[in-house]
Amino acid sequence: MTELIPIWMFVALFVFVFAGIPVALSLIAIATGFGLIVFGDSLFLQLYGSILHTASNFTLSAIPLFILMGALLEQTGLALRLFKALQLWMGKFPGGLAVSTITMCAIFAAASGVVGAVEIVVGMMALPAMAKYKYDQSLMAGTVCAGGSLGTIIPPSIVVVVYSSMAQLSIGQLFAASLLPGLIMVVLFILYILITCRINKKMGPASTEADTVPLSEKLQITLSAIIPPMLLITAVLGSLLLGIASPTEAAAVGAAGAALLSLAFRELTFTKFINALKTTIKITAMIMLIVMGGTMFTSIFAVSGGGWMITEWVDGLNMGPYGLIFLLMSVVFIAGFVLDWISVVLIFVPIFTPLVNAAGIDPIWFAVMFMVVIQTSYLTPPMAPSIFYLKSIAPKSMTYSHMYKGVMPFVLIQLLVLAIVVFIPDVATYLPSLITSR
Amino acid sequence: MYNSLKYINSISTLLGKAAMVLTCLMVCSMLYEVGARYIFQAPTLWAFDISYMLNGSIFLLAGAYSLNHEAHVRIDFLSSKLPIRFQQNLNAMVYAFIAGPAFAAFSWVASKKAYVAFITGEVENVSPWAPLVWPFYSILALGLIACTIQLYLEAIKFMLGSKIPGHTTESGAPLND
Repeated sequence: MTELIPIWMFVALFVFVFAGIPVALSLIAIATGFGLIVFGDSLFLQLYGSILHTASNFTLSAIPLFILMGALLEQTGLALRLFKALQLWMGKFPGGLAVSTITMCAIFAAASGVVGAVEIVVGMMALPAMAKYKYDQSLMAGTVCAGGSLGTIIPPSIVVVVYSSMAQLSIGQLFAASLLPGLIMVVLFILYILITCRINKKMGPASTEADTVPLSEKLQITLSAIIPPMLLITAVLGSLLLGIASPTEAAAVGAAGAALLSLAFRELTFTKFINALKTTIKITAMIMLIVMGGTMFTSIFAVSGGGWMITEWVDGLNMGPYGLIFLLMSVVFIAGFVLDWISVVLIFVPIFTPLVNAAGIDPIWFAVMFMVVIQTSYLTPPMAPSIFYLKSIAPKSMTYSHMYKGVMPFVLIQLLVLAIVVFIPDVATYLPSLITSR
Repeated sequence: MYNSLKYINSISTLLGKAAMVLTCLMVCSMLYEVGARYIFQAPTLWAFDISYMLNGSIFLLAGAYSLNHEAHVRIDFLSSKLPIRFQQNLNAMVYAFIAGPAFAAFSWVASKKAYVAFITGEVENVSPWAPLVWPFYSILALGLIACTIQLYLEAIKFMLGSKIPGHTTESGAPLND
């Protein structure tokens, strides 16, 4: 009976999670329940170790500050102005509004790092704008969902922060590794939108608003709306990738920069500042509590023999590295349907890391594939978190079938990016090889 | 009864405010460290320890606040189809009889650790700054105790039907009216 504990832990976890119990509390409850069977009374000392380990993890300390930076940008009008400015330049092309939505998501993803937040903030601006010009409903849905998913892969992503703390990799290297695949994905998204809208003009009609604005005004809007956030992001990412600042310090610079920018535009009121702080502590507690629960879960899973069980099973299958990668990625993909990304990273990275190391697979390359797969799983129907987020902000005329149809081309593009990373590992590993690890 | 619940609920708000202040402190201390290192060529000894200690404190102090505000991810596409009364009872049971006792036990261990660290004057031994650890340990214990209390409070709110799992209101719960 006891040798089956690792399996029962997963069964119980899914029961709790599907019953609608908060994921963090489910993980903690399962770890405590099964831990009592394995350890008896000394369990709580063991689990307090997980709490202390999470609370004193230096890598994770970048999380609240990156969230604060994103929350400040979201609270103040910087995001809306950025979208309007992008729209001015791109709106007059067929599909231009969709392209500005993707661009906006890419910039915002780089600034925020929280997955669902980008989708909701950008969606609330982009959906009405696209609806006004009678964009195709599926294209609108697909664009917002796909754009929202970019937060996973485009640095600085919280996914990367949590991943590197679990796999003991350098955050800087992992950010550098995800940069090129992220850019390739954005470019492919944009190409897809431009090509479909060129072929079928009804998909994304050109907007007429931009023509009435004189060039000088356009330049002025660009200067005030696009350049400052870009500078902020370059400063944060640059100092991080060049090794000038630790991730936590870079995040602090980003948060202070965002506050200064919104002050300069006279958009930061005291209430907005407090709201940004409230969001920050809520999301930080949410993420960190899952990290704490996940750490407890995996420690009990490991002690009760789960690691051995999986290693033996995988050894028995006798696959080469590519077979192993395919198997592990399928597990991540399916888990991503039902679990949130933090739990996926927390539960599976500790289990997979020994397998990956034993097979001689480059851990950084593996991490990038892992993140692309989480992102794809976030987007793939029928159980796609991205679609649930979209549903909460979508107009009534947009149905689930629009959304399912709309995301499919973007899912295919993500699988294409995954294939590129699998067959040309340099895409992921070249940039990290340039920077010295810290 | 509502009044006393409200009173207990305000603990989470108070600790949440503390977490917000610590977040600002964290930005300032990291900026100070960057400045000290590049402008004054004199990196601080304490930046490393302070950053993780602040993060740990923010997270546990905000724990109760985030429970009060339903900030925790639920996968509710199946459970939201169940009758609301059933969801409320189920959550109340899990909060009161599984999560609550677990957090109570964590609080007990954490308080003991903090007390021992205070008595023995334990210092962080991997850091060159070697700070005393009891203040950090005490905040962790405080945060865990507040989470325990809040878990029972949330269970009561679910039982009384004044809160629906997964539904947020700006003020956190109808209790805050």
